[in-house]
Amino acid sequence: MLRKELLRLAAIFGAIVLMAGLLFVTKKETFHGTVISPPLPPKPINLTDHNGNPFALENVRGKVVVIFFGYTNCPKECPLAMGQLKQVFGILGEQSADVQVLFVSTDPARDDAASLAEFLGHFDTSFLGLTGTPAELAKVWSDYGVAVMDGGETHANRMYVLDRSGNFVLTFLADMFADDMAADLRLLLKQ
Amino acid sequence: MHHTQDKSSALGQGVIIFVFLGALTLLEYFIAVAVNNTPLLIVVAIVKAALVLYYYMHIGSLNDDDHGAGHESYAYKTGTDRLGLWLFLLSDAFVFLGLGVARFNLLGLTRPELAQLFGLFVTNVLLISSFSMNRAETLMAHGDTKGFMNWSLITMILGLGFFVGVVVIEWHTIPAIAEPVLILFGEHAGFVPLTASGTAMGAIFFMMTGMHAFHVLTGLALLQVVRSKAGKGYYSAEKHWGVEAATIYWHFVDVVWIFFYPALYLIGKLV
Repeated sequence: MLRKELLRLAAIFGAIVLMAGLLFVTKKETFHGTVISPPLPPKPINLTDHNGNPFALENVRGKVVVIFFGYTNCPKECPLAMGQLKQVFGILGEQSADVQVLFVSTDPARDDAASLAEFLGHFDTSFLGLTGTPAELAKVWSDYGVAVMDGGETHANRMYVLDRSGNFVLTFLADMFADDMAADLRLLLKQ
Repeated sequence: MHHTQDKSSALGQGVIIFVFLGALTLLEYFIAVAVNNTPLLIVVAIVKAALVLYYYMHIGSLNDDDHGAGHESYAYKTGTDRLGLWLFLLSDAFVFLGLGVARFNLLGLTRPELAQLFGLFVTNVLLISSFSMNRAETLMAHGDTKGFMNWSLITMILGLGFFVGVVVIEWHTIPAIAEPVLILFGEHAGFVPLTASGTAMGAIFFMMTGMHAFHVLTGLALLQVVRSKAGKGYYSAEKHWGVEAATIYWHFVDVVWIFFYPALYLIGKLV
């Protein structure tokens, strides 16, 4: 093989490495979800988790928290959203240990600890289901701006993301790319 | 093939091209992980395909002049055979192009969740098989039938490895084998495999990998035919069109994977 040919190949290879390097260096790390600016202080959540233990938001301070409102009999959006988060956990790998998913029931009449545990067990055993008395839940729903109608069936299809210090910083639409959600959570984990 | 190079420099060229192809494959994997830039991934695939077409498939030999040899000469016949083979490959390429278009039409810039490191592994197995095939052909072109037999056997083993890797392991055809292997390659337990009938994503994944795997299988059959003839002393340095044809076909199947690998594993985001 001619030396000139070899140099040409090396030049093409070098150009690709250079382009990849430039793209990497200039890559801006921005959020893909909807940013809450400025971040809002968190509203307290005092409910009962799916193991029957009392739950307060302070319990998970230090972790990035993803809150989703739904109900276990939900045929479509809720399992899809949880499936999405399961995939995000797969992408995050070990880093997912610092992310806490909370599933707040919108259907206290039917969702008890056992049904929440069973539903979330299909996705990830670290996901925590929360329920409470209708009055306790109504306060959380209204604090997070979630309108619940039709016995829990109508609810917001967004995920609410709190940073490590518990500030409300982002919302995810449930049909976002799992890759993008994972990238956003990684960015929050770095803070 | 007229060998204008001496044996050692022809073999050396095969090694150099293989090193470049391997480096580009690793580079594209890192581009996908670090920046996931689709245009750059396409550029890398085109460069890789061009290297294989030019150096391994000798596309330039379509222009070979038979120096006024008669129409009955082996060189003249090989020239027309070669043209026929390339025309066939062109039409076959449209089948794969159609699948590629279907993939981008159906999935856009999303991709299925696949075992990444395993995909990289089988891709490299196929790439190494292209290298060993180049070596086999080069040796035949210099009259070394024994060398051809050895290196074409290595090619067949690697090709079979790729086929099993895709059809048995990546497809989860035999979960008892597939799961431990995929977990060994860093896949998390409880990984839900794609199904052909589940979604458009599953359908296009099985169609693309299936069509390609079937070509690998036919390539293996073709290699076995050529090997059995070579074993009987059918080919020489001057006359070995069969070897050249099987080699070009084998590299063509690799070129298809050069595009299918990024299209399935690297380009786009997980939904």
